Amino acid sequence: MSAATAKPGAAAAGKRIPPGEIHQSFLAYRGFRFLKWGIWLCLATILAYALHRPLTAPNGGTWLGYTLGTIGAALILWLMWFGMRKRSYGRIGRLQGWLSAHVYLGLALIVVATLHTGFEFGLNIHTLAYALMMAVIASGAFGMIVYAAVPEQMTRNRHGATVSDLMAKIAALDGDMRQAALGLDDRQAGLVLAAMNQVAIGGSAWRQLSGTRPNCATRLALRRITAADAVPEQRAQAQRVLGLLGERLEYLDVISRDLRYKALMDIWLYLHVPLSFALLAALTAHVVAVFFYF
Amino acid sequence: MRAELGYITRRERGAPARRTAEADAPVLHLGRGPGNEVGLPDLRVALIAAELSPDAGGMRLRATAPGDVRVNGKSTTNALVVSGDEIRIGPYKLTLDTPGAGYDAAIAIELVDPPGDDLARLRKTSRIGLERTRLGKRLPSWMLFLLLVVFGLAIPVGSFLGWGPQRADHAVPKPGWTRVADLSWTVGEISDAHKHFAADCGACHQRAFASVPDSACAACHTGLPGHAIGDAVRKAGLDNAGCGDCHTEHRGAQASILRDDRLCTDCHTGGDGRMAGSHLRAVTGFPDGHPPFRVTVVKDTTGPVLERVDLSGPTPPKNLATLKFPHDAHLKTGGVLSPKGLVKLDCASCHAPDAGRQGFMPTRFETDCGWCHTLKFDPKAPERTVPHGDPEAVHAYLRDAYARIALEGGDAEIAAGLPRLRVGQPVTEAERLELRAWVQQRVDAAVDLVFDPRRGCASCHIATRKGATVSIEPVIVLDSHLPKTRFDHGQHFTMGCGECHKAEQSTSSSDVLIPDLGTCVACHGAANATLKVPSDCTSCHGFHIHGTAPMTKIRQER
Repeated sequence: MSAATAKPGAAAAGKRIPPGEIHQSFLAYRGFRFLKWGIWLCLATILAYALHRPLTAPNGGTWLGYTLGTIGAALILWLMWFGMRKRSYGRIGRLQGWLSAHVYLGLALIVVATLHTGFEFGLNIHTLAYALMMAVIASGAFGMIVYAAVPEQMTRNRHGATVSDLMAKIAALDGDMRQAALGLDDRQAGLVLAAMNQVAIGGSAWRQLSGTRPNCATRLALRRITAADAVPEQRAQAQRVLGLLGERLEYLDVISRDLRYKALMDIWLYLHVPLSFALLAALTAHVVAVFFYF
Repeated sequence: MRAELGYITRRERGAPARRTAEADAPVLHLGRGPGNEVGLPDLRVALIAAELSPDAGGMRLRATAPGDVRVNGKSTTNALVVSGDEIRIGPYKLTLDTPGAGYDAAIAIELVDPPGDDLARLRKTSRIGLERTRLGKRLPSWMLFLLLVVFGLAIPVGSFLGWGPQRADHAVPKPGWTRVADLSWTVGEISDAHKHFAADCGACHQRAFASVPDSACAACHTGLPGHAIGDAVRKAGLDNAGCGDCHTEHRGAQASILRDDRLCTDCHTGGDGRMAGSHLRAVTGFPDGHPPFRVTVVKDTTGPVLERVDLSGPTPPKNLATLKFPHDAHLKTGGVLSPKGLVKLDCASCHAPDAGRQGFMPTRFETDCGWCHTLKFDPKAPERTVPHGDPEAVHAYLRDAYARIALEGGDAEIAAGLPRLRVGQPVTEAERLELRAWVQQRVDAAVDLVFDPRRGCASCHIATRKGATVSIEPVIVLDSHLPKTRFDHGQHFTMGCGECHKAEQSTSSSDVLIPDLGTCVACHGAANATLKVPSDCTSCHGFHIHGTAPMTKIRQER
């Protein structure tokens, strides 16, 4: 049990980590403490809503509506504070705990805010704030699922190697290929050269997210170069080049998959953060509007 | 041709190293392939890129494959080269030196553009991570935040404060873009009745961060009556009530009245003393908790004095009626005998719906009774009838009618026994007295008939005869026996009258033909009923009662 296996935040905090918490997912933090908090919050909200009998149809303007609205707004501000909190390690509580609370209380917000609305929706800033909140939660939920599922697939894909290791292997292959392909005819040599020169790793957001490499020159070379086509004295060389290209393609595929996993783990945040700020503005407008035209 | 080849390699430090070789062939081939006399082993060079052959005055360089071949920096496919020229083939630089003895050419060969470090190149050309793409978080966050602050907050607030284009007349909508921003704040559909000025938020919302004042409502709803009279207003706590306590807005097309029964029962249950000293009975709900109906009846025709009586009391309520009208006699299944023969009457024969079809027109003798109850006074003059309504007028009519007959004659049967007046001769005093006596005798006979206590007026009215005159008790027919409620007959047209009003069994006009609560409850249920017509207090009762002080006055009196 070494300190290296612990989360960096915890290590920086300099606290002793109780056994059993190492390798523990943020979802299961302290025996699902915040899941329980979230469930209690939802149950209390649902019970209050069920017992509430306002003079009008349920809406945000009843006493329960104001109460749930206040809880919801406070939760949103606190949840957004997580963005600040995660940048400053080693303060109030463990980051893992904050993340756990962020996830579960963020999900509980679905119930609190929906019952705050009393299921009254319209084409207005109020429903826009709700829709933005749901979009933020949905993107966060996507992130949560990805964080829970992808790292294992990522490790399995790379077999313990890093992208840097894989790139070094490709570079080594390229060096070999420069020699092995010298004897090929010009057409085939051109294909090999193109494969080596193509920027094949990463690229646009879509390229990284989809994990595809359209017009992959390595794949093209592998398809176009055939040992059988080569003149007899070149056959052995062509065969070797094909072997190298095949290996190159395999590494490229592994890297593409890895980048895809990494992109999946990152992309939701590109929605989560801007939508959160849009929500902050819409929420402010919502609260001001409600009290402005009281 | 024999050539001296010098391969130059440069190291990072130190002098360049030179490896020499020799080539001897009629034509020297240059390329990356192993079969070339001049080997240029780099993948970027063609297998056989060019050939050199002796030529007059030097050597002929011919490109043999597509690719980059330059002589002294100039791209070429065929050129004469001499000593001192520099040839570039792909990454290689070939310099033609002065050949030594026994050689036709001397070529210094150097790889001037090495492929470089593959890993460094790979790293340099790779784009890994979304943070290195065009995606960003900070800029979109700011843009979305500011966009919503401007359109969701600044414009609506500015519009309220009067920034930007405004029009003085509230009825004229503001320009489109401010309206869109204004509307983004609306919390729900405005009721239909208020939609015509819905574009002007300020018509109701007169001050920021303050609820809509009652004065905004009273600007249109002037003189709206209140709910209670005198001290009851304060006792019930209504002096603190505002429009918004029972009325709401932005809650849908039809929803400007809060119809929750609790708004009524919070006072009308009477438990908290707010109804202390009141004659009102406690109501806790409907149908359970609603007291039996209490009807208004005439207790005394002088005044008249009205009284509220329990409909379901031990004895049925009686309405002091001054008109004799047995419904059963008129609604006989076999019909009634009339001047038109046997006629079958029904409710609609006398009770015609009013213009709004909510209630009924008052029944009138002239239209509803007179065609059958004709006011004839002389069997010998069956076409003549006395006027209805005024005993004095009846006297006058009878006198005039007989005097005319006496003077004009003509009606032979009636006038039989009258002295015949001679044409062209003045009437003598004796004849005049005789005629007057005759008229008086006929009038007296008719009055006896008309004012007879068993026939004539008294068959319907309570009539008291004193000599030649009769006095008729005034007829008092109440508009409604349930004045505290609204009942729309038009909404109940699918029902037969007899389902609620047992008129066919009523033998006296003092019967009160109002159905009891049970009749309503057969179809009507509580406000949350699912298998009956959902009915709340306001389905039958209005809050604003005519005759009470206006609501705004109540508020001002505080």
